[in-house]
Order: sequence, then C-alpha cells, then structure tokens
Amino acid sequence: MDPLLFSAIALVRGWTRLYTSGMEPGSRNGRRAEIESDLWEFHEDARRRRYSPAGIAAHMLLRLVAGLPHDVCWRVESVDEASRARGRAAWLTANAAGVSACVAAAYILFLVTYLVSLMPLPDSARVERTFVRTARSLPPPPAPLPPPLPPIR
Amino acid sequence: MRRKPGALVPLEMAICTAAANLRRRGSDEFHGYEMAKTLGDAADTRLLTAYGTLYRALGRLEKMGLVQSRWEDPAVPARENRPGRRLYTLTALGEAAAEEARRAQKAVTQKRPRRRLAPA
Repeated sequence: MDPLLFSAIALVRGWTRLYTSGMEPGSRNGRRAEIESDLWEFHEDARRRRYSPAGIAAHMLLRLVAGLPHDVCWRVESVDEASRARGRAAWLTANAAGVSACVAAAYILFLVTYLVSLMPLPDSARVERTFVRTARSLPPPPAPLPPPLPPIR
Repeated sequence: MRRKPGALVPLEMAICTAAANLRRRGSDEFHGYEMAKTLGDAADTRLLTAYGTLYRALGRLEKMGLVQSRWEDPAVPARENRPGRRLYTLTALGEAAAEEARRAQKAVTQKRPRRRLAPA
C-alpha cells in the first residue's frame, strides 16, 4: 500500500480511537466499526474509479479534518447522555432502596407485634402481688377536702 | 448557538431527502459511505461529507426517530471479506420530514424572482 494512503488511514483510525476512548463500549465500538467500514468502502470505490493513492489519502484527510469539531461535539453529547442516564439510574436505585427499607420496616414491625401477641400473658397472681407491693410502697392518699360552707344569707 | 430540539439542520434534511430518493429507486437501506456518496452526487461536489459531520447527523436522526439502524448479518461481510456495515432505514417520520423538506425547497425555488435581461 502507498505510504501516504497508509498514513492517512492510520491517522483516521488513530483519531477515531482517541475520541472514542473511555466511552461506553456500545457507542465506542459502533463508531469505530462504522468509520472502519467507511474507510474500506471509500478506498474500494476510489480504487475502482482509478483514483491515485495520493488523491484518496488527501480526500480522507480532508474528510477527517472537516469533521473534527463534530467528532468532539458527538463525544461530549454522548458522555453527557451517559452521565445523565447514570444519574437517572442512581436516582431510581435510591428510590427503590428507600421503598424497600420502608416495606421491610413495616414487615418487621408487624412480625414483632404478631410474635408478642403470641407470647403467654404474665401470671395473674404475680401481677397482683407486684401491684399490691407497689401500692403499699406509695404514700397514703391525701385527706378528703371538708364540705363546702352553706351560703351566707 | 444551540438549535431548537427537534429542528433539522440542512444536512439532516438532505439526508432524509436522499434516503427517500434512494427508497424510490428501490434501495430501502443505506450505509454511511453510500449516503456520503449520494449527498456528494446530489450537491455535485467531489468532496464527500466529513466523517464526523455525517455520522453525528445520522446519530441525531436516529435519536429523533427519523431513521433506524441495524448492523448487517456478520456472515455477509465475512463472505465478502470486508468490514460490517451499519444499515440505516428511513422511518415513516423520516419520510414525512423528507416530504416537508422537498415542499419547503420547492416553495423557496418558486418564490425566487426570475432574472430579467436588462435593456440594452
């Protein structure tokens, strides 16, 4: 292959690798494969039309340079979208966790109440003894108030 | 400057129109390079649309629902010894956008005043 054409293809591939690096695998691999296909189709088409390798290389480089700002914008948009999607996922996860915690707390409360209701009641004699002992330890109740005086005529 | 959401830029309108023309010629699906070539032929320019410009526009059109894409069956490129193509199809919404663009283009052409020869 002509060194100029080889360099042009390498440049296009290198730039594509650079601006898609660190992106989500779906977007990254999709864009790389699409550019690879375009390079191949263009090369084959130009070869069939008997374009010179230097001409093909120049055309590839022009297409690359003219599209640089759009490549950068596409990356920024895609990364923004991915982070927005991650934010949405985090928000949904947090909500789901909150709802699950509430349901779990309600269930545990119900379970504890149910288990307590199943437990035998304390012995009535023991309760009475405790009550009497407590009553004895209390001070005597205050004396009742005297009856009210008759009204003055 | 930010553009209005849902608004099409001239390249996107041109892609919809070119895809509609391809469909009329019996080719329902197209790939990126084919579209670049069709656009170049329509504009009568030898320089094809830049990689970044073309694929970003196609991505936007797909997000707007005007085109949909799929990767071709891996057996086909393997048989033909070439990289796999991402094939795009114009949706009904895209067809409507192309028709709208064609009508707008026609209206602009009709409004343009004809040049008259100046008296000698």
